[in-house]
Amino acid sequence: MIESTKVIAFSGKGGTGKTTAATLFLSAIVRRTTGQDILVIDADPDANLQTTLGIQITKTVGNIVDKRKREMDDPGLIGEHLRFALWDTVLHGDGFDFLVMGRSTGVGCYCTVNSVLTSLLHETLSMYDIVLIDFDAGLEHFSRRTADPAGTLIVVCDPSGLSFDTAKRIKALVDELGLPYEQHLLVGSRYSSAQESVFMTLAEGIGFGVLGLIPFDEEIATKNLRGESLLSLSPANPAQEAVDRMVEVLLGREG
Amino acid sequence: MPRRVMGGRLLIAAAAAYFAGRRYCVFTNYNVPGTDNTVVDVAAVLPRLKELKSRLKRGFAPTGILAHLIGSGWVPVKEIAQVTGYNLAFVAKVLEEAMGQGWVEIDITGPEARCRIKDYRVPAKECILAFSGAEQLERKLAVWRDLAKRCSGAYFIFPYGLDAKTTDLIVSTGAGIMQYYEDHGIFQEIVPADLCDIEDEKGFALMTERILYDDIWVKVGEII
Repeated sequence: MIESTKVIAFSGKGGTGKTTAATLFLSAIVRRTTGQDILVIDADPDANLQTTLGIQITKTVGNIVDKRKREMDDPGLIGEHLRFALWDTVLHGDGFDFLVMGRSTGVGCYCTVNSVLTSLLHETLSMYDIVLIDFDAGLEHFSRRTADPAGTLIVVCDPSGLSFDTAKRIKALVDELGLPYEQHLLVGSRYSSAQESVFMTLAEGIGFGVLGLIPFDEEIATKNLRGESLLSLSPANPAQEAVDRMVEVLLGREG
Repeated sequence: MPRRVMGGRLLIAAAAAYFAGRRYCVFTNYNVPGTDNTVVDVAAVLPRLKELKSRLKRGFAPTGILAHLIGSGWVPVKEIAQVTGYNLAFVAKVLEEAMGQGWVEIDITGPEARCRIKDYRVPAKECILAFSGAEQLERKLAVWRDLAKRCSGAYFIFPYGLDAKTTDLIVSTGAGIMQYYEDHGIFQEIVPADLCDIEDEKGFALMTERILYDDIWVKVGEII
């Protein structure tokens, strides 16, 4: 009723193009919306969204959690409160903010810090109109219920049967745990038009709604190979155009 | 024995906790800046992170004066003194400080000093008002109507069920209705509020800056 943040989370088997998809979705959303606050979260421990967004990160949430834990264990150390450290970790890009989760590497019990962190992260999400989350390939964040925010879950599948197996497992886990996603949708990545009907059949077979297909794109492949930002792609790029259409459907459907 | 009807103060405290639990920054019995001592039972503000961070770095905007510059372009300093009722020396001092913090530009090249607001954005996504409907309902409905353009919406909260006439009266203002079950600590949304875009940006700024400023000081006291 009064909580208005739209969350779009990306998941799927490793290497299927989740990060590329998340970046293209971000680009489409930034162009489509004005005056809205958008947060992008890289929740993949092997964070590489920074490359496709062209943003240099200096610290992650994992770093500040380690630091705060050390400060709490040593009364001689005085540091920044976790809330303000978390806020400082949020970087401001062109039309969006960016937060990298990373991971903590210290030893000992992190229960106190982590429970405060979870609460602070949810609070931070609520300060944004739209939040995009790029999850890692595994299913662990679902089973640990760290992927809890309501909204849309997009599972990305490339042209491989294995990616559909993962999608099927994700759906089963989400259903089993009763995670509060309003909808879960499949997005095909790097498909040719000849493979479209196979994709549709496989998607139907695992009980997913289909949001759309991102075609294989030479320019994106080259940029990814060179480690260049995908935000500089022209809106006329065919893959970007395909995602623009999906965003139109998604935000229209949600909003 | 007839059941005791809970008092407005308890209802206000419960409503404040309800909104705070939904990550709003809350102020109870809020004397709304820029009004003639208008008090609302609960004002709940959802902040924008980027704007909060900016205020932590350069200080909160002195909205009592700056609000009059929002969307107004260049404004003579004398005019601000007239509109706000502050004396000219005070206004000049506040503006000078605000210029140092990057909130305003001041132009003294013309016949009279003038200023304009710079890079200002209200630091909140939305502002919801909540009123205990159990006391002075007519007066509170009038307050809500006066403030409606500077807020996203409002709820009237009752510790008991309403008759159809009262329900219609409240719903006709665009406000929502919630019933609070004291024994269970539950707020039940009877009619959702009609949430609207902010029409009065200046009023919205005045309404929200003070709440967020106070809220930051509470958060500074956290231990982790």
